[in-house]
Amino acid sequence: MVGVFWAVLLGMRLMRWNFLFLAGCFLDVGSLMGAPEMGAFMQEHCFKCHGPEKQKGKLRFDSLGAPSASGEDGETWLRVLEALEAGDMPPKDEEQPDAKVLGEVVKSLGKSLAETTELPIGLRRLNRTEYEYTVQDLLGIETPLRDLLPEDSSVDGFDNVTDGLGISSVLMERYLEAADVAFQSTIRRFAPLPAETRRLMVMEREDNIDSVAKKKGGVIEVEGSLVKFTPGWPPVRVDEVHPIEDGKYRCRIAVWPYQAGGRTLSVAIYVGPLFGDGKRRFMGMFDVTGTPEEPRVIEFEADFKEGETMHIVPWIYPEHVTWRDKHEKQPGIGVAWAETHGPLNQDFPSEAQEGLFGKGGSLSMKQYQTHWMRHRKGVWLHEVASTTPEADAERIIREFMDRAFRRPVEKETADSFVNLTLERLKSGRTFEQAVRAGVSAVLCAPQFLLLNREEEVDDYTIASRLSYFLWSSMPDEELLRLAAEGKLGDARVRDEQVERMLKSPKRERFVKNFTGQWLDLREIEFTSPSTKLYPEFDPLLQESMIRETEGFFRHVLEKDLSVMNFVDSNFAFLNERMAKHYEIEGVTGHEHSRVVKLPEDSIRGGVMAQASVLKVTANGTTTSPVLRGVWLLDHLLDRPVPPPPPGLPAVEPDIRGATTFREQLAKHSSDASCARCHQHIDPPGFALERFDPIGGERTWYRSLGEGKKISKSKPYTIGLDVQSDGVMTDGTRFQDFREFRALLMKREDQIARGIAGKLLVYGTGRPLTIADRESVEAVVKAAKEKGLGLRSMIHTVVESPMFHRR
Amino acid sequence: MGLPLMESMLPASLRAEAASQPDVRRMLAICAPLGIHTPLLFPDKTGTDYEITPYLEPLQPLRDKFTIMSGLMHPGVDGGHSAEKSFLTGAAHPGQPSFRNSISVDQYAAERMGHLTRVPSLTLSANHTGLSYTRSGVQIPSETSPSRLFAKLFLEGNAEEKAAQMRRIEDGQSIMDLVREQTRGVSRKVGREDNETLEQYLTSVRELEERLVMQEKWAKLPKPKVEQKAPDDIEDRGDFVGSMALMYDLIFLAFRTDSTRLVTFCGAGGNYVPTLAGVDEDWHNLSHHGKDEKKIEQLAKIELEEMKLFAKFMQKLDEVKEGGHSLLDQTAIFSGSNLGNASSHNNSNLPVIAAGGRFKHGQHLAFDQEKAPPLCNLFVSYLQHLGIEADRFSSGTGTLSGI
Repeated sequence: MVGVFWAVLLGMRLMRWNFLFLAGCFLDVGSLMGAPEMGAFMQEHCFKCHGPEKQKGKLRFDSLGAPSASGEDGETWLRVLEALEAGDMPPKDEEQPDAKVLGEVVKSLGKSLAETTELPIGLRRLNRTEYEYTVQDLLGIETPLRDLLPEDSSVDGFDNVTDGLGISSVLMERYLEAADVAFQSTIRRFAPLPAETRRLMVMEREDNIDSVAKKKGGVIEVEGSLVKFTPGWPPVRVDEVHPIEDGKYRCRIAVWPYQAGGRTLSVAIYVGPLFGDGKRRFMGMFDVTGTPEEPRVIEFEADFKEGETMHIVPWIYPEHVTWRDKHEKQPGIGVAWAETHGPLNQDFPSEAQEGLFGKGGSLSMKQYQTHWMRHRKGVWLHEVASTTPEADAERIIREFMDRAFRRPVEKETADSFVNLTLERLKSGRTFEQAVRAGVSAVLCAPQFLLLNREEEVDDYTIASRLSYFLWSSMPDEELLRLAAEGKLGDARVRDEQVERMLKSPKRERFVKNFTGQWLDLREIEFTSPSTKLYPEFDPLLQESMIRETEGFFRHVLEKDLSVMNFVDSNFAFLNERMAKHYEIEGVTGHEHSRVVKLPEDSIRGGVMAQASVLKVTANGTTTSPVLRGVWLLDHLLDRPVPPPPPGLPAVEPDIRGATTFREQLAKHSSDASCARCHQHIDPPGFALERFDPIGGERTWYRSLGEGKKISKSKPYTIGLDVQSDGVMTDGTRFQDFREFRALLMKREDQIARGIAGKLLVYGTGRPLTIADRESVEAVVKAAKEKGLGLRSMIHTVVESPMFHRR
Repeated sequence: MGLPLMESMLPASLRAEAASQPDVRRMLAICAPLGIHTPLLFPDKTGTDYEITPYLEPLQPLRDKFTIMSGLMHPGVDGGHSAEKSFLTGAAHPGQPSFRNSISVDQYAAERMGHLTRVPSLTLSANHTGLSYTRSGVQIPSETSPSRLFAKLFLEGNAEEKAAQMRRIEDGQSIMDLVREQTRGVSRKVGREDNETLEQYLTSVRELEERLVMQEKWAKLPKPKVEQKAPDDIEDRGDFVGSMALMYDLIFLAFRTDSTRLVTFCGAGGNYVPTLAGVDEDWHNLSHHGKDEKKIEQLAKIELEEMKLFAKFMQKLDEVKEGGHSLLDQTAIFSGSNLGNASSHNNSNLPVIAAGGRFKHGQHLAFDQEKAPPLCNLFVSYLQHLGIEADRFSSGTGTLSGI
């Protein structure tokens, strides 16, 4: 009987009870009559502690109504089911029910609760990520929009779930503003300068010469290049190549390694204002190779605002201890020259404008205001004008609506939006201003902002569901065409579309959004590890961690590998920095992470042993088996944990080396009522103690107080030993993390159900209810036929009842 | 930016307004998102003769204008950092997967008195998240830029900008009018008119229409004139002292000119090393001090600066008289944190300073954690200070006894 205690408890997700207020819920007396078998079972096994005499946990069952998921007792019933299924109740030291009887009771109770669950309809608004992608895809622009909107809250771990997506007038006002920003960015107001190439030999610039002369930050000149050793001040100044107008530019930077000492040196490139690091945009991380004579030329394209610069930031690992270090020479990055070419896009009017307004004919660009620019004289701003404003405005709005609403629009509806536009024109607005009002109205309309707003699930609904699942955006032309042809009702066509969509570059949105939330990768920057305890942590490692987990997921997706690889795998996705962190030989280069076969003796494999996950589940200084245990139960083991009862003191971390968290916890959770949850939470947390807050493997805790000294150069000492053994709730012992992981590998159904649940929630934007077990089981069953491949599982999600429900 | 604003420097119209409205009530809530190390804040002794603790030292000149409170919390509010979401709402279990937030106390007040001022309320932040939530639990985006805030409150655009602004408001009204009709249509088609999403949609549109009407009215009135120049934003995150000082100055100005009566302010805190002598570790990391004395020492340097900024701000409010009272007396201030102990991330025994608002101050109110009233009772007291007839708010069941 594998893992009764770890059994799937989808119902738990529903629970919103509050321990404090449960006591107030009991109203009727003796109405259990409605379900006699249940009543008899509960009388025999439950009433002693949860009946007229005692109400342990403030729960009393003899006064419950008939089993039902809705109504006053709904949450209590779900809790009863959960405890029975998990085998938590009756307690081990009480008489246990006959397994067959228990099975029947659980089945019938599950059925009653599923039948009485009110299914949430899929109606919801776009979240801000989806809003941004949709508007960008719709208007052919790249302008960031999500920061104009309030943050969305998450329900069941994802920010695209109905219940979390509230609407308020604040949001509505922001939609109005965002529509305006989006509209404005379709129009280029004046013709760009002809594209131009600007190049600077770095050591020909006064600031850089001065930095070398004054030895600022230790920089030197070698072979005509500026050599920079640290990420800090002074910056490599390349002002001569700053774009003087907004636009997209191709950039090239020539770099070479100086005194690398066997390392692979790398450099991070950012684009942004010269000062203020908060607004820099990360362009990428590049390996620094070549020689002063033949440097590596880094190339990338970036959107610049006038006057923004490139920031060239050395990422050197391992860090050279100090410049005084006599053992080796200090490595640095030589920067020979930098270049920009652009603006690349010369269209005037812009492509986006022509996409929205159409081109030629009655349309023209009309000068309306002079524009002062430092480097150009006589520049005029232009607006879009028309010789047949009414006809053009009507055409534009009608065409725009069909795409924006993701389905053909009824005439009556279309007319009201056209009328608004024409009425604005009549009231004295210019042609462009009137069109702006019409477009803004479309972008604030419920038909645009709401998904699943139709009475019935038709082909267009399916088209949108597919595209919001895999692309976080509106359906493309092909999906809409298939919908129009009525072909999306065919499972084979859907299959083909899923394959096509997962091959499109837009699937990266799925990879990022799903892993970002399922594995909490979005939290990667939430803490910076203590520099005293974890001096080896650097930005290169953090960037490499994210690449590892996203790359791992992408690989499992592409190759349709079993989802059990998320528990354990014989490969990892690494670059040199990650490989060194994991003490794995033979991986060179930081720039490109790749699939690496793991050595037999490596502890890595699966997501639990990935540094990103281990970092987001720690706080930078310490790890808590409780927090990591809760995390694992919710994210991988399909068993979310209810909040602790109020008023309990939390264990306070102590890094002084005299006591471990585990020792403190033992005192804390020896109490029987605590043990009920902690018996589930703590063991996985103990297993993960094998890893420190940055995902390094450890056998002892680093301490800033008591402990054995290592060397002068290490700010921390050797603290107490790590204990990572534990006992699963079914009594199975594990000695360490590997044994724990091996136990989980035997729980294929549980893991598969967990991941299927996450995909269903994300894929349908609905919370899972007890009635959705059918969908979960269907997904798991179908996916099993394909070896539980991740891509196969996505196909089965698309075929599940939940995906097709209203 | 020093901002000495004497009564005589105010334009005549504002002076007249101040005189005709002698009893303008305001409220401010401040949160320290990374906690306040309470052993350096809470006095041992209770009552009026409590001993001065390191963090309360800077506030001593105003000892009779504030109360330090210990032992309070929001019942059921847990989840470590997640509790920030419930700091002003009191909604239980913010860390749970099924959590939905409720309205924050400032927005509850803004719904009732927001129309009285140019800006119904201000949601400010020195990091990035704000503390205010709407009735449907949507987080209100926070203003983080002092220069943008200054422009919004005090800078008049040129004629063309004003005309464009007026066009936007008018267009917005027609757009919302149409969107309202469309939403009704969609509701009818969905066939579930009671659907919460659609109901919220409709209400939001209606409320925005009302707001646009107010905005139109205010857009026609000149903005208050102040002597100060527009501030420059501080880009260096490490200089949190500078950034927070700018925000405090603007909160003062916003209250002083009656541009708004309700402000929430989420203070600084994050993954960076503050630029302060003797501090060389990341702030967030220091808050997880793990009882290491050296870390606590550095943390104390940071938090003492926060207390000094707050003290200076209170001082300034107290120096301005309005009617028969000081601006501080007219403003109920709640300053604290959602974390009781940042190192263990617990959310009980929260640090709370209640200041201003003509309450009974000058004391350490130590509540027994087991029997303490809900923190929201303080919010009920504050709502009543604002003249709002409320005897409950969220988990609050009455006013807070003792102040």
